[in-house]
Amino acid sequence: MPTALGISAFYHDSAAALVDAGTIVAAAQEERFSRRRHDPAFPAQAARYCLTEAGTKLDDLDRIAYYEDPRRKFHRVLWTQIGTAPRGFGTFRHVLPEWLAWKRRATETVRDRLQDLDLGTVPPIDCYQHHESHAASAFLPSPYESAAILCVDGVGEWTTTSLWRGTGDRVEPVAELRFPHSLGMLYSAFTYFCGFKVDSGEYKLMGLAPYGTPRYAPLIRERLVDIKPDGSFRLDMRYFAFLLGRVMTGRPFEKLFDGPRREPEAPLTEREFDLAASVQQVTEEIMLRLARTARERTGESRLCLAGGVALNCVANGRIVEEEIFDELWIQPAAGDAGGALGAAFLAARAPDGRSHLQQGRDAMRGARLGPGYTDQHIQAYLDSHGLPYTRLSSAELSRQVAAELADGKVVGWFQDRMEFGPRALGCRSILGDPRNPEMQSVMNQKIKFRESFRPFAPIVLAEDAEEYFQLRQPSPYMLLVAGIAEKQRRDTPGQQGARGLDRLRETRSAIPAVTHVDHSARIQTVDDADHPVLHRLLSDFKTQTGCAVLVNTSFNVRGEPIVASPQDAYRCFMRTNIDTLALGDFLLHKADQPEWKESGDWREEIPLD
Amino acid sequence: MSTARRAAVNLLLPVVYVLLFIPAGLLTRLFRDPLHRKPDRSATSYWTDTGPTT
Ligand SMILES: [Fe+2]
Repeated sequence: MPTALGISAFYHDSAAALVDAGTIVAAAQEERFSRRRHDPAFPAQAARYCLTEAGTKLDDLDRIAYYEDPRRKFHRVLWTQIGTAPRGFGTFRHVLPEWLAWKRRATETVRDRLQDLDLGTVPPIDCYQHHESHAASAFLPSPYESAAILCVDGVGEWTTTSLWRGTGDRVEPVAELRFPHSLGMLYSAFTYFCGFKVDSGEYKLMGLAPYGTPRYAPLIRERLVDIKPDGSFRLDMRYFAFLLGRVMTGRPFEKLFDGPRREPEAPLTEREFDLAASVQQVTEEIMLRLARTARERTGESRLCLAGGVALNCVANGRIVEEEIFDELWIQPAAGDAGGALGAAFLAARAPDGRSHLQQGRDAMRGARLGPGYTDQHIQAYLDSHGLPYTRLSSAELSRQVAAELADGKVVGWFQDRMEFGPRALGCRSILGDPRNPEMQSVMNQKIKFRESFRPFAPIVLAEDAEEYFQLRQPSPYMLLVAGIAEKQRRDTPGQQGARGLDRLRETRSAIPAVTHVDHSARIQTVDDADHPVLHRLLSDFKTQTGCAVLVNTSFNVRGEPIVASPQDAYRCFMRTNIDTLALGDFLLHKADQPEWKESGDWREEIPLD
Repeated sequence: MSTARRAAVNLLLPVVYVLLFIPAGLLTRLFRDPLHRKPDRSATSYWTDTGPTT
């Protein structure tokens, strides 16, 4: 049976994934091990973990699958330099030496680094195209026999947007758009301009959009991006600076949008709200047109999505709402980490087709593809550090945690294997009671140490989702936004007279902690087969309270990667005001714990996100 | 990279840029912009077909 280790590295959020004949054995991002957020370094620890999980050495693998083609990427870098000369010497001097030294032969670096793991001989390395890897990650693990595939991101080699058709175990190209014309770059330019970090602050910009009015949208359409009826588009590069240097926007952009960019951490103003709303509206418009073209050109009734822009769950929700396709499936690791998985899938197809289709499910197992810890391991850790705990049966622990949540406690929930992809989906999560109007600010200030303009995301029993949300299909990976069901709503926004970010504190539904100012929510539906442990907890909470929803946020503090190990979880538990920690079958209460001592201020070590 | 090599590279980079990249850039742009930096409002579509039959 063909086995492959997929690698994505050297740009943003490196990862490794091991696929054995179309079945995912393991997948993880390097940041979780190195504890450096979005770590772009070679994913040595993630690769080692994947091999350990599979119980194999490098010799036993058939292929290493690299997620992009370094040579084609180098060509793009060279053509960009030629195209921008003589104005681009700044980037030229900065970028060219590393491309000449090793980046154009990144696969050789991959081979050397794998060899350094000392886990046997490195098998042959195959390169796939960046968007081919995204497309494979979107379709091959999906629950569909055939589908249209749309990949939208910043850029890989040349491609920035691509349309494919998936049938059986193949992905076939249909059409593409090329660099520098990129929806990911357009969104990142506004992310940068609004004072957030490129490649991670996009999510914040999306969260900011409901506060604003899209008054700049006509200007964006008129000056920045020419959108054709079929969704294809071109940016007017006179307004962008990313070809020339390290920043996204320059003077012409500032002139268009009323002055210089907002400095990071400076107060947010009406302008940023409106910019966010505007670029979000244009993004949705492009995504809807792209989806319609995907439907027309492939004739398929289902759509698979990947690429960084597919993390824009508001746009995804719009595609569902407009009923362009019967159903939508989005790769949970839609960003470049998922490229490792897609490449591994391309290199290790099963000879007899995609076996998960027979079960009518996707192949992601609820994204629970990372390291898990046995109760023996957890107990050994707790005992060796003399940490007080109560051990319960899984069923008792679930009931107990549900009761504490109902009592207003904030619970660190560490169960099962770690999620693959950027979101915590109930394995490395902090949970709370969504009915509690205080929960939003409690969780933000006492645990995340941030002011937030974004509500938390709800998890809901899949079978009860319709009771709470206007959702037409399952959303197992928190990648769809939909409205709160009418009967859960309590008032209309603005009624209580709050302004700006304070509007988030108004109660506008029966589950205020997860309701955004426009009555929307980023939903994760939890089904019993994919997520038995979390499903039981939600069921227990529902039995005790009548409410089938919990607040879910990632188990970390601001700027830090999500916790991976019991040690990470305990550290985060003690540093924050989490009341209770459930580590597998072990329950720890804050009041029982020995005093937490640390040299220095840990908050200074964690960079701002 | 060694310091000596880095210094050599730093000296060479502007030379390469002026002798190779600037002329290549000017020359290509006589014919067309490789990056298509201005939208073509009269075009009906920007898609490039990548399928096997087209
Ligand atoms: Fe990508």
